[in-house]
Amino acid sequence: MTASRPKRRIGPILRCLGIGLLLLQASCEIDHGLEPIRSKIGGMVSFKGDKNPDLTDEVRVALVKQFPPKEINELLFSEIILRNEDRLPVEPRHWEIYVTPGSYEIAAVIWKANNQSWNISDIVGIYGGAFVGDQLIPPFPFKPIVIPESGAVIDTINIEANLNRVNRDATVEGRITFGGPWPSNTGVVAIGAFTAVPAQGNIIDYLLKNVALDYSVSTFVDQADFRLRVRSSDVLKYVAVMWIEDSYDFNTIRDIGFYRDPADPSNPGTVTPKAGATTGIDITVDFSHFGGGQ
Amino acid sequence: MKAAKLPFHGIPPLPFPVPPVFRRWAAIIAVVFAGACLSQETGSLSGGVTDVQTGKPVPGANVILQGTVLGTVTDGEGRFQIDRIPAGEYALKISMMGYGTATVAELLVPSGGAVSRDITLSQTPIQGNLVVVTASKAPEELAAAHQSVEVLGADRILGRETRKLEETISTVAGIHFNEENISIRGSSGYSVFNVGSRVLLLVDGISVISSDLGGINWKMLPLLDIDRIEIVKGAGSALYGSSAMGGVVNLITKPPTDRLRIQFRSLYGQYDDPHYAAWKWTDKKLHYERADLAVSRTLGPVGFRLSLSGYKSTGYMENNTTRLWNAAGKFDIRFSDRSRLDLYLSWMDNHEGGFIQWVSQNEAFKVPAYNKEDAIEYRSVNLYAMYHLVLSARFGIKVRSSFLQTEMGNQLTANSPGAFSPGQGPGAEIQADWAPNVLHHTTFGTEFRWDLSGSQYYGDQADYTHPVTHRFQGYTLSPYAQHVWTLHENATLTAGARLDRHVQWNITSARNDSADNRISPKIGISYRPWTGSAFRATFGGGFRAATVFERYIRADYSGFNVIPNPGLRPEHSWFGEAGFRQQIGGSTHVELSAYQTDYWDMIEPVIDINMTIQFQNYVRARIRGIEGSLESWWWDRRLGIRASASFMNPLDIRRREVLPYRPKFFTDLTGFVNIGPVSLQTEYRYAARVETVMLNPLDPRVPVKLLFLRAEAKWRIVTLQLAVNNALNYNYAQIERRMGEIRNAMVSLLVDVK
Repeated sequence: MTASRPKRRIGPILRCLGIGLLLLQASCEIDHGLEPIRSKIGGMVSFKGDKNPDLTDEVRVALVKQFPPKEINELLFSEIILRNEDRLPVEPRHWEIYVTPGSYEIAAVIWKANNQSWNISDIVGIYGGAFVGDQLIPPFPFKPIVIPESGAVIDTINIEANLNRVNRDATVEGRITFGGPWPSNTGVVAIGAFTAVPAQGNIIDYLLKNVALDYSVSTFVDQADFRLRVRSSDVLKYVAVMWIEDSYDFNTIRDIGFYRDPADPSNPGTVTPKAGATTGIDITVDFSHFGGGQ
Repeated sequence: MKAAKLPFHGIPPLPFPVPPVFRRWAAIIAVVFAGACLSQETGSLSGGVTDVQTGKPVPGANVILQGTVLGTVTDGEGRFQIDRIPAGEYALKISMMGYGTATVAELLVPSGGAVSRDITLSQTPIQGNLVVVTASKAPEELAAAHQSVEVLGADRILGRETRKLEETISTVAGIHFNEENISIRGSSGYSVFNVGSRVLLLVDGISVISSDLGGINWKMLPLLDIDRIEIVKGAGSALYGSSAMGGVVNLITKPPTDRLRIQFRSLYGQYDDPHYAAWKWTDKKLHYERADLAVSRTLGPVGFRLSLSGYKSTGYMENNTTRLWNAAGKFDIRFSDRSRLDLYLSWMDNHEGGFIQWVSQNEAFKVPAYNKEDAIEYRSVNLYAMYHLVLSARFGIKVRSSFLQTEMGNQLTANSPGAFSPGQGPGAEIQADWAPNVLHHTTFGTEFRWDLSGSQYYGDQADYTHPVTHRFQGYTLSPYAQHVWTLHENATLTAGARLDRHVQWNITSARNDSADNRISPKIGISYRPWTGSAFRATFGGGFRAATVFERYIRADYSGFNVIPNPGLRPEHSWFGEAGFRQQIGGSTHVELSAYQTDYWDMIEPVIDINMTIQFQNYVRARIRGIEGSLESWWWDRRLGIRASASFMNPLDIRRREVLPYRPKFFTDLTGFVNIGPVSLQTEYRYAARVETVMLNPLDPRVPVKLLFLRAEAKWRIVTLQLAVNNALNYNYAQIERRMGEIRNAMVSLLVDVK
């Protein structure tokens, strides 16, 4: 009787251990969490333009699943394909980005200036887009790139990049006067220039059809001076102030004031920049009737 | 009138010369608060505490005389003695980690007489009704605590994970770690260098939050020094002020032992290869090793404990090495049975490789070339002196002074050694406990802390090539009070508040930057309808002042430009909690809690359109959740289970999305099989995939699924432990682009001579 007791006690323990080991073995075959990414999107970038801008810090290709992205960090960047080199490369350069399966709405070549942050308006080429002169015409609808499954490789996304778009040799300068109470949910205010008047409320026009968009306008002030780098060869049909809420969601971008024609203040004024500075481009913004703020 | 002529013999001789003015005030305070007891006749109480199973004495047990501020700890022979007890009837409580609590009710202490009681304690594998000190800044029974409190003993710390303190703490319901960032009930997400912790870390009740970052360093103490960890969940600002808005973790260090005790522990561990061959980045064997030594004993009135530990690791990733040294000394000087001075000093020197982000997910264990030389150096010195004086059975005071220095080295780039000046935080506190009768206990006091810090990365300058060190200083002055009212023998009501006046200014520019006054109130109730059951409910406020780092940092981090925000305001919260504890026999313990915390002006890093990061008062958040824990043992403790689970909804109300880096569900399950001297453990930890992250939202994210296997064998003074951590070699990243620890096996040997 006494001798058989240890057997009864150890038996269930051994069975528990056995079950545990079986479960462990099964688990080993199931899930190891993160794994190397095997699928990728890539292609060639060919450069056109007169020269590599002096201010070039780096140029990369960026992918975004949905445009506009909700936040700037929703961009996936390639390695650097162009640095501050003396001349533009004659041969196309290869790019690739490892991605998870899914649809990517836009592949674009983005230019970054020295000592500046990434600015998604400094796009110098879009997959499927075209150039009329130096003016970028984005595809519409976009040409999404689809990675159907893990391991799929698409290496045919060739993009033309025109660096003349960011070869800015002039500035337009002025003062923005803000009237009325600032919306408390103000995140960013930007100054933008367009060669054609964008469709009111069209986010794609605001973000992709500008010739320059600078997000560094001071907020919660009565007046702010601006200095926007543009090209002297562009005739600016619309210089406007843009507002984005403090979630920094690009989808909240709004046009809140524009430079008016001195002769007919109900219409936008045209600015023909000269090499160097063009001053006196003053704009008034009235927040008194601003809807959507807080 | 000289104090010595007072008709009061309760004040013991002080250990240092005391100015007459102080003595006069001390006498007046004693008369006011000691009240009627001055004229009472007294008796004494003594006894012994033994283990009912082994018959051996139990040293280190807490002995509390309820309704007074009197209490003691059993000596090396398990004996205790309390003198000068006003004659009357009392209840005596004896508690000890690993034992059930014993109560001696209706204990009559006669005038001029001596009472002796011998008490036996019964071993229990579950957490009993211990005496805790953190939730009310004074000793109280765990079941009477009005807030959720968890206690982790030294055996659980050493038995669970012998390298990282945070690994043990993360087994507690409601607590989740993102690397070294602790989050209690979703209070925190992730902040680089653990900046702006919403959980207050205490060592023996004294804040060790750094003066510059407002952060926690879990490595600052030798692990063998920790006697137990008390964790208070939910805002503790009503007693502890800033940083306690999410909760409080109190590391209570071991007291010196009466007899010589030597503990030595050594461990060696080796990392496996990454699961995918593509990730293997070196042919070297990657390993870690650690050694700890502690010596403790008492000589006459002076007890001491000295500790030294070293840890070295190659890391499991490139540029992931660690070299850590800790040393600590604790001295208890007993002047009389009612007067004691504690001195403590700890020192840490830590050097780590600066693995910030991987090259890519296809080279997940390698750092980019520009990070290969980055390193993190961190040094800290923490010291305090705490004087305990029991003026009467009804009134006692604690006076302490402390100093914390934390020093960062070349944190942000390899080219800027010495960019940070040490953060220095001298502090002082006086606390009084007054128990006018058995129904009331009041704790009140004032805390003061001075903070100094400086860095070339602070201020508004944008150019690092001509750095200017901006220096900041500030102070916090905080009176507080809390009253515990025993409404009924089974119910207590607790109410209290703390005022924090927080001022900060820039020494370099002689600018007064911020001044803020905050009141943090709290009210709670505890009700114990039956033996082993306790209900509790609490409502209160919390706050955290913005740190110098959050307001003034300007740096580049991982491709992002971090810019200052001098206008940051303090963040604040209101929280409510209801909970229930149930102990079933001596083998099962269940605890359930439900809570809600609302945050205003929550300080979080925000990425703007220009890819700049700035700490902003952006988030208005609400976190609701429920959590539970269970511990149960069967078959004469041969089989056991310990489990915790937490569900929460951490909502950013403005954005209508989940707060970043907070999993909605996490759990920890441990099974035990004990066969004689051998214990086998299997632990499984799961945390749901986080829905929102800050830096790289498009990166693949996975839940955390970790399996730990442990075996432990004890033979006399030797404990041998074998462990396999992350046994499934599961790959996860709590923070984007930084892989969690891969599978590693460890062997550890502990020798405990006492």
